[in-house]
Amino acid sequence: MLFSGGKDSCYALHLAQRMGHEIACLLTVESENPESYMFHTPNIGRTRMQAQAMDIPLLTRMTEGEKEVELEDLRALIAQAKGELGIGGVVTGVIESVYQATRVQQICADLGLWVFNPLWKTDQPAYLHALVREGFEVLIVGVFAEPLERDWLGRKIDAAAIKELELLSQEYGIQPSGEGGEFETFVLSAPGWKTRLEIEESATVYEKNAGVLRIDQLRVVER
Amino acid sequence: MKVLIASLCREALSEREFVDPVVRIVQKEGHEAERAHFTSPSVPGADADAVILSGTALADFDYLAHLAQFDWISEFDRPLLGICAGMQVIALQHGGALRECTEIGMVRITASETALIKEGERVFTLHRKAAVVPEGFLSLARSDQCVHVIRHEKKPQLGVLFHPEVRSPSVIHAFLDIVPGA
Repeated sequence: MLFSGGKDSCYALHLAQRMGHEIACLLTVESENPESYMFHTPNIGRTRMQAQAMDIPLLTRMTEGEKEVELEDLRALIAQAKGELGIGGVVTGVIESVYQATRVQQICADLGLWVFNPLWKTDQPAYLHALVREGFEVLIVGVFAEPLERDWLGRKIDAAAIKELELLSQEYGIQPSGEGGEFETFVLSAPGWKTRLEIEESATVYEKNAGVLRIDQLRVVER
Repeated sequence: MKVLIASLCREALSEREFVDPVVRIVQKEGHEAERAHFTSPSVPGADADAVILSGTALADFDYLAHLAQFDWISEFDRPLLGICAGMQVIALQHGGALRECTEIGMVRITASETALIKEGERVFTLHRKAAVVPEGFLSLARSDQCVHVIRHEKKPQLGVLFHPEVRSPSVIHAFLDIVPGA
């Protein structure tokens, strides 16, 4: 499972498990470049605690985040998972990005692995409602598009938030699920997790229509 | 009208990627969409006005191990669209062949005027095999690697190797437009 810690990879993972696939490990490429083309960057170091909450092994690899170098890092990480754990395929949470989908397909074709993109082309508002209905606790932890102001940081995705995102989608053309990089999310709890997470300490960093909620300390709590 | 979308996927998880997007496009056009796996007796069905055969994951060639399931195609007279694996199956059922040809990602198409797609348009591809055009079919569009659109000279049967559900939904709209009563 290519894992960023955000809602899309968590929901895609959930779908894969629900359809009987065993998730052998989570794969996270940790980018040092805040404008990474391929990978979600806010709070990616926190995926370790999510992996523990899910009780699934996590393999990580640092990348400098140069556009093509990070692809080589992703390739190396997937190859490692194949070599060490014998994975037969890779699941991603990609929805619309032909760029991301193409690169992952190419790498997995070279390595002889299947690819599953269970959220591909999904109806985004319907998907957001499914997340809420099925008990995913999702926070917005990064905003990178003009209509999403500082007050969106730390906001939970619930029915009211989805309604506002749909309105902003109509007015400004953003994608309601943030697939165009308009915002990034972090999942605190989801179906199947052994424990849930709570934020103990965080800080808001915001300037020039972009910002992140930096999660400094997480706490594990009973579900 | 009613459109049957037949999944050619081995894995149910792949259907969210290769069948659901097609279903949504058909429904958005105001048609009834019914879905079934290609091994189901409801394919091709007696009451669907048109049938669409889905694509599959790049690593999935399971459909090629069950070609007898597609014996209905050669005599089928209702509109039929095969996407990627679906095009390959249509070609095979009409005596065509497959050859190795890998394309992954956006590719530019050279098309004739009747190809359902515009000359020079870029389409999303995801395949390791391409069809050799069978007798009785016209080749209407190609990339620099392989044939991308074929059409039967007499029957309303079409095959597209690229994935129209990704960046070219108008191809599916154009197919639905040829269905009588559409």
